[in-house]
Amino acid sequence: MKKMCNTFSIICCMLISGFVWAEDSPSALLAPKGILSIAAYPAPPLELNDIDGNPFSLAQEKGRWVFVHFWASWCGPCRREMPAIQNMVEKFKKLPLTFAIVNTAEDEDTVFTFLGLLAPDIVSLMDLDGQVTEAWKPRGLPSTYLVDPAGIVRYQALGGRPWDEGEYLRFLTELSAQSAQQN
Amino acid sequence: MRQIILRVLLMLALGLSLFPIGILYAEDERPPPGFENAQLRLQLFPWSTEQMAAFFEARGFPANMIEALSAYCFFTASIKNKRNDVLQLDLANWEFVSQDGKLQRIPRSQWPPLWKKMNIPLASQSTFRWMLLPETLDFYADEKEGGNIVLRKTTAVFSLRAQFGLGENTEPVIATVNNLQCADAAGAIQSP
Repeated sequence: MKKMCNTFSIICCMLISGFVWAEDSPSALLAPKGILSIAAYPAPPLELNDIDGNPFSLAQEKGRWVFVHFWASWCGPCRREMPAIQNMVEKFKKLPLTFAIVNTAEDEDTVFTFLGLLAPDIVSLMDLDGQVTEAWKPRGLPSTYLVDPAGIVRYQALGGRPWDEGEYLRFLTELSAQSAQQN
Repeated sequence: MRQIILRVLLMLALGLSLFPIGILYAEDERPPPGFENAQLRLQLFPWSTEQMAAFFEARGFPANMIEALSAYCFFTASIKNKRNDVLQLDLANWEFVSQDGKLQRIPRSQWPPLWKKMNIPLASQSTFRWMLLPETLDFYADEKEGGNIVLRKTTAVFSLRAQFGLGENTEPVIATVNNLQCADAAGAIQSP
């Protein structure tokens, strides 16, 4: 019994020290399933107007992590993923994480109708001729990149992800905490 | 008021544009042609000319682009890597063969010059391109991706031999799908 208690104590100590190490070391973040830590490269330009006509420039978001997401209404996984993105955006309203949700090559009416049905609070950027998306060379649609506060692409998501679930929210919260620490 | 009516009509149009896909899967309850083993799953969903035209029309593709595309046979390929490591897709290693020989697959590189000649808007070109299956792609563990494969139209029954790489010094995975046909092969097909 005593031996079991000792073993339990050792495991507890290891777990606690593990948590402390993880919290103190932002670079040691463990990405959730389907999020790849990729060879870093400077983010391609991203300057677009949103559906309301307001300009957005990725270059002006230096100092914050940016969630860059490409989607289209005809893509089935995009349709399934968009409500989760809206839920997630809602949770990050007060945290230093910027969302750049980019529609690829569709018109305003299509985007308005699609988001009105599935994610009415999302304000999408409009890549009307698809050329900004081309420059990012996504693997397919939907596609998500996480750009660090220095404008470097660090992570890529494979396909659609349940962004409003615990492990994804925790991961993004930790990234946004890094933004806060650097500011 | 006029704006609201316009929005409602657009919502209906979006719903109707998705309708052909629903029909495609609802009418035919048989599983789509495909291949599955412990390493990968490959499924091929054929599109009829009408389904293709309805889908592209709903996305605002110009009439001349849709007319040009009606000369081709479309399949949507869905691929899932079931391995714990990378599975390499290279469409150059896919062969479509009928009794009369190899069928011509139209690679991604052949479309831009045609669209340029036809003055197709960049947005339609972009959407069409994103709907194609990439010519090459490394599938990560558990990754699933899909896209269209385009062939010259044919009434023939054909088979697919798709080879997926696993890296150097490793035997590739071969997926074979027999008894494939263009969706409207049974009807009268107009030659391009």
